[in-house]
Amino acid sequence: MRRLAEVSGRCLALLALKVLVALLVALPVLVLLRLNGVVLFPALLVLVFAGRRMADVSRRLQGRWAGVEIVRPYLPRPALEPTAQSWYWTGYDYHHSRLWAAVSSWFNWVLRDPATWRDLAWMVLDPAVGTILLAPAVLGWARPFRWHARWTRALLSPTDQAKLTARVRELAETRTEALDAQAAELERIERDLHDGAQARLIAVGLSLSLAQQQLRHDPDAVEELLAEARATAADALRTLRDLVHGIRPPVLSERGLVDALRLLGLEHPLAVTVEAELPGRLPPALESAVYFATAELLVNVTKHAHARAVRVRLEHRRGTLRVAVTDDGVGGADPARGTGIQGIQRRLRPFDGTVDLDSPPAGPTVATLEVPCALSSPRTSTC
Amino acid sequence: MRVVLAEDLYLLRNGIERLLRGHGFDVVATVDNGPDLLAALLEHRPDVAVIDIRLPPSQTDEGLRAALARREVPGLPVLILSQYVQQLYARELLAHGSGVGYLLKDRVLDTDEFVDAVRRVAAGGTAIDPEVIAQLLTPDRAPAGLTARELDVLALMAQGLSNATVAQRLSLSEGSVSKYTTQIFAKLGLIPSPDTHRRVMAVLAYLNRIDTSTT
Repeated sequence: MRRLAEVSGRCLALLALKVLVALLVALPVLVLLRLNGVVLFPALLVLVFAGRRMADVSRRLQGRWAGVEIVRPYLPRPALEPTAQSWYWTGYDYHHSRLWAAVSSWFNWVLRDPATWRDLAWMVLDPAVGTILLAPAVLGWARPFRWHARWTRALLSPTDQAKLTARVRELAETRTEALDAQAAELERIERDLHDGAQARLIAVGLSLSLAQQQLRHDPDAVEELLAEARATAADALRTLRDLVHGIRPPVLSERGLVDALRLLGLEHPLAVTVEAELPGRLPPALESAVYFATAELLVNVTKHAHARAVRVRLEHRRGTLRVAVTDDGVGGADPARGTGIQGIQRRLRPFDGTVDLDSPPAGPTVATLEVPCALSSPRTSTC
Repeated sequence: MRVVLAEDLYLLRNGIERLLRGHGFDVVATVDNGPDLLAALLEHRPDVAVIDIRLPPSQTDEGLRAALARREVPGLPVLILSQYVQQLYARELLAHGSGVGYLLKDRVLDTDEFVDAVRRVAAGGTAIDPEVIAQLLTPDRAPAGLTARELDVLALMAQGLSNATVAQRLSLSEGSVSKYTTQIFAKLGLIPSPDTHRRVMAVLAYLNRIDTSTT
């Protein structure tokens, strides 16, 4: 009985929304019939603006009530590009005035987006079609309610082409990010080598050539120089070791992600339990990304959580790799503050991975990394 | 003393071989990859094997795995050399019984100490790199309640050094070192043992706060 009342109530709410949409569509028509064309323009603006709001509300309601998730299809608003000659490029035309550039950019953005026209089609058709579909559902019949949800999705979700366009844009962004990160990394390595091992090896060479000169005249000085050369060589080795560890920890190459995480747990100042199982190896690039992301999460725990114990859990289920880092600290961590989580996000984005932070006040805090990935058998990588 | 040496880099293999021969070791075979190593161990049955952890063909931990596959050559003392040292491998090696060593390659620069470590391992002792111990004895992990001197003794003891060597390194008498070790073991609540390998195991297990035999 309650279920029936619920379905009927939702139907009535949706029908009320359709009345609003119908009124909105009627507005420019009335304007055209009663007033002149000049007022038509603002009326159309209202139609587009309010239309998007109505469509958004419909999408949300279908997701919440009918379990049919509908993705927002609109293109992102392009930014204005100022040129060197103090003009503005909208992506389609140049303008001298910033205001006109903004107006032109806005119109191009809205009118060239197929989603705008599909919204319009929906606004015209839905008050009739949607009402017919929904009418039997008012009596509590659930099936037409779902038909209605599918009808809404047909017009309000992005087309396949729009989905592909969005995906291409996302890939282009992550590719740029990945290449930038790689370039920055190479620069860091170059600098570290230059200031570290290279400089020390030069010092070793200098000590040795000095020793060679002194060999006949001053054996004591030679002994001192040789000791110095040996110490500097040992130092060069140490800096190289640190550098390599930062590029790719050797245990990752030798043993893979599971043992690398175990070692991370052993080296951590807090008590870290690592529960990890993985039947095969991951591709090296992904192993690295997940390793450094987890290391970063563990550093965050030491810095902010005031925790005593940490649990790291790694599992691979249904084509998704999941690493959960749970601590018993103070909680209340805000991912928007600080750059730690954003750095991790950037690391995982090229793999379509995500990081999620659940940190209620008083804890416990759970940070979860998720990366879609087919596990490869040892020695092959197909991800 | 008969030694088998496994190292894939020619310069290092040659250098270590010369160094060992110079100190009176009989290097019976030198190899540069995992499968050859196993064959050489089976053929020569040396007193000790000095093995680079990373060997062809896999360039992973081939050397360590060959060393851990000691069922084929029971009780063979093994000294593992590595460009890096990690606690994880140290624990695995130690769990396999006595006569094990795990050192940074840099240690060959200090000839006397290196040769001493090879001899110690060959005699069934233990040689753990100071770097591994340093990783375990960081300020936020070191056991509380020990004096600075006791921490020094603990660090050397954990490397597998005998009381005599610890005494020599710290310029103490052997008697006072053995007094220190008794105090340390009492403070940590461990059972003292004259066997250096068991002593290492006890200390490492304590520092890890985990039972080393579970890995």
